[in-house]
Amino acid sequence: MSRELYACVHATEFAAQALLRMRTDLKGEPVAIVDGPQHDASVCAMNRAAAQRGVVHGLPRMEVEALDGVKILDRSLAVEQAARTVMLEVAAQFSPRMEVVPAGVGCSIVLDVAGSELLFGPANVLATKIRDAMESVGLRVSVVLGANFHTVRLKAATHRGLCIVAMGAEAETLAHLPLKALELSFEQQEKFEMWGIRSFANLAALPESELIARLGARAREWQAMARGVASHAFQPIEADFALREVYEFDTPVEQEEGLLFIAARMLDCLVDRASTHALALASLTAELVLEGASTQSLSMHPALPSQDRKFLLKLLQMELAAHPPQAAVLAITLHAEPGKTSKVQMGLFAPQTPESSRLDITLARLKAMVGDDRVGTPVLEDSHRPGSFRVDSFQVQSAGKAHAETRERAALRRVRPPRVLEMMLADDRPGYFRDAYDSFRVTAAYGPWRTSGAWWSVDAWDQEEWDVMARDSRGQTLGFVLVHDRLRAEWRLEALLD
Amino acid sequence: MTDENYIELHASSAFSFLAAASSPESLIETAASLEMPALTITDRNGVYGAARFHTAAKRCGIKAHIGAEIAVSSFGRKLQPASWLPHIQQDEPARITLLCASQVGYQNLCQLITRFKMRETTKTEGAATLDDLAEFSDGLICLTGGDEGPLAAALAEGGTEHARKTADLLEDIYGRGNLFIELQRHQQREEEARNQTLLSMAASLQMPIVATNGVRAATPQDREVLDVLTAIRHHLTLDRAGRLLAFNSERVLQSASAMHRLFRDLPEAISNTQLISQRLQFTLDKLGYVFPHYPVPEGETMDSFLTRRVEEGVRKRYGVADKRSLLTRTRAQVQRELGLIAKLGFAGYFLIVWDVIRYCQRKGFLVQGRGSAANSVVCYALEITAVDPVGMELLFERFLNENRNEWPDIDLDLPSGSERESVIQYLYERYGQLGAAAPRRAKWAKHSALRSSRSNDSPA
Repeated sequence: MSRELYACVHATEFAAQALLRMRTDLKGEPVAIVDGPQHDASVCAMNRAAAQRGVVHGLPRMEVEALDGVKILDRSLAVEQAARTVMLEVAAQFSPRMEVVPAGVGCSIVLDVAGSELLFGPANVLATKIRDAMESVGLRVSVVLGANFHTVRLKAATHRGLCIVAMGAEAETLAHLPLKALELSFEQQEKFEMWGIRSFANLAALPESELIARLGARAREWQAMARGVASHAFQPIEADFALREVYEFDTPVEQEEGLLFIAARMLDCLVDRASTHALALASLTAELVLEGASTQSLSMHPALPSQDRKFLLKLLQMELAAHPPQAAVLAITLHAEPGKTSKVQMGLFAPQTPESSRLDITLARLKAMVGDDRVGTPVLEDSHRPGSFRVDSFQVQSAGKAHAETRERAALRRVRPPRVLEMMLADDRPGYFRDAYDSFRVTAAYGPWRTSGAWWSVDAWDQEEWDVMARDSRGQTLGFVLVHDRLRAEWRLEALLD
Repeated sequence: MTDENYIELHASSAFSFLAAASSPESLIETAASLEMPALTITDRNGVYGAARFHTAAKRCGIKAHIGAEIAVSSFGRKLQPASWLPHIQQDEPARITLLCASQVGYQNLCQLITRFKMRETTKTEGAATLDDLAEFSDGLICLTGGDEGPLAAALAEGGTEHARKTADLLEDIYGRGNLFIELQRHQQREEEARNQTLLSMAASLQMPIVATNGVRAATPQDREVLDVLTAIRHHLTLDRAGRLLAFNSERVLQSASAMHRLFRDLPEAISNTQLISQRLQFTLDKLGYVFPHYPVPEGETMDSFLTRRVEEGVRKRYGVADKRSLLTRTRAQVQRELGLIAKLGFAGYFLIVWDVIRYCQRKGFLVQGRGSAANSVVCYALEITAVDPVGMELLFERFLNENRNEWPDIDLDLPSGSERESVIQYLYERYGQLGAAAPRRAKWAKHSALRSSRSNDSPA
């Protein structure tokens, strides 16, 4: 008993399927995919409804346009590549050993599924599961299982639906297939035609030695395939797990709705694919190809990895609102970084914090209103520059240990923006100053406290701080922090001491 | 000289390796321009810059005091920025400042450094222990340091009480009167708050205070060099060095008037710099170095033993027929050279080199003296060199000159590898590990300059 078992997954009319899996609005509509230069484009793929309207491969674009109700889309190799990656990724759920085989206008993957019965059940159940998994990412496929690699490959390319090739019934299964399935040259096909050999059954019945004497050693291989006994050295490939979806629009899109319609479907696919690996989307990057050969990139980083499609779409919408494309969009690529679908465990006595997805949307709204660099958490920088900080992305801090301040400190009221002063010095120390509101006589001055740095850059600073007590025009004594900017030769009132 | 006198007792040179910016000569020249009568070099864990510092100081008529900042593991890590401030400071042990008051103090300082450096098994700077400090404390005056010192670290870690204990500990080691609470004013708020605590602590413990400026660069302009060196030391660009860089440009040599202004409320701290300077009697002039003794037979002195060996050599070298005519001139020259060697006390040195030559000859190693030693007939007679200085009429004074006040320098060429190592081991075994050393020169090379330029993200 043979222990080999292969499953061939074949997606027919792949160029059409790759584009239509994103276009749910065209479901059931006749669609033809054309390829080639504008004036000489012809049909390279179509869906079933288009075929029923008389669309065939090679039909010129102009003739397709004459057919009533047939939608024409341009072929996109980038979209096909993305769909092929998705197909491999889904197939990898059933077996790590996969081989991509040539299949004309379709896309075929042969899986080595020997020994997988305990995981997925008998062959017919496995075939159903593979088909359903492919359908969940928008691909209609035929699935053929059998013990011979070439048998399942050849059968899948010509069969629709599911098929289990019984052990020993390989030749019988392939008997009716035409010889062109063997990818023969024109001369070879003509020779067979002349001999009256048209099907695999005819080829299988020929005497082997005479056949080889007339057509050479390759004929042995063809006959072995026709008999369902051809051997094959499996060449497995490794499927990359990259959460990436691409769509090229047939016409430039200017409306946000049109963009989001496709993006929603792409997000659905990304979330589905991530969830099959028990993952969520930790970050999302949208790359837009704009008219005029420019591009725009939008990045979204939810606080927690998420599988919530509506939330992710809302984030994308907010990002688009904050950074609207400067030209019509020709293509969109969504790239996501996977993350674990972990939940945040809050402390029992920790203060209530907003739900992370709602917080992300609020932050995105704020960024759309005031700008990216003005929303977040202020963080001190590693610098001696007084008051230097940057704005980091906002994160909810877990309740830390309360810091018990035991020392009494003078309260400092910062003046924002600092007020520029006119200063008169006495013995190189502040003596008298005035701002736009009042004038002050210094009664005591402590300092200077000096700091300087970044001398190598345009951000250089060099300043002195003075803590002064000064009497205003009404005789009231106040405490101030005054700053002397030595580079700008400017005095400023930076703070009031309570 | 101005009426106001201030002597900087805590100045690091570039021999603190990437922790200070200015060469010893530059420090001295700046001190001279500030009319400072004396200056102290206190490099980190070493006295590498002392010789150049001393020479430059003699040239400028400044008294050169020698000291060092010594890392002490027992005092915890040196002061770090507050925990809520982002920084990339690495943990380093706190350092005290030790000044050599006498020759014994200098010897103790050198032995202390040697002790803890020899203890390290990997390439680290090392740190002394309290036991080390206690063992080598004589002749040294201890300053408690600035922000790198143990009191700053103790105040931050355990408050005033911890700092008092640390000060008591240091006083037990160095003795009352030999420990000074060091105050620095670099116009920083935190530093001044620390100073006020130290002042009240010093008053309650009746310990003397002293002002220093913890100098890391000679002039404010050198602060830029200091920042670049700091970035290089931590393998960072200037933009990423953050709080590792200098807070301001105040850690430089300040004039007496500037220091008087800074410490106008503490005149005692300034006047104590002069008192300490007066106590620092040691200079490298009084090094008291003597060459290792060469063991000679009973009844012989090194000079008489050397004279015999030279006489044997002269007979061997000049006893041959074609050189006999030079014998008279040779004996006169030998007498002159031996007289000077005896006068300067270098007989032991020549005998040790002769011993090395004999060792190589016994082992069959190729060995050859070169350089100005070839001008000496004594060297030729001892088979250190192979050129006949009498026959070639070479000038002995190029090798040894009483007026130059320099030690003789005999270079020997040895085969590299195991034979050279064998000779080194022989020297270690015969004259002791502490009496023999393999010198290493620290000098800025091209690659350091390249690294320096990279610290600013600019192409090298």
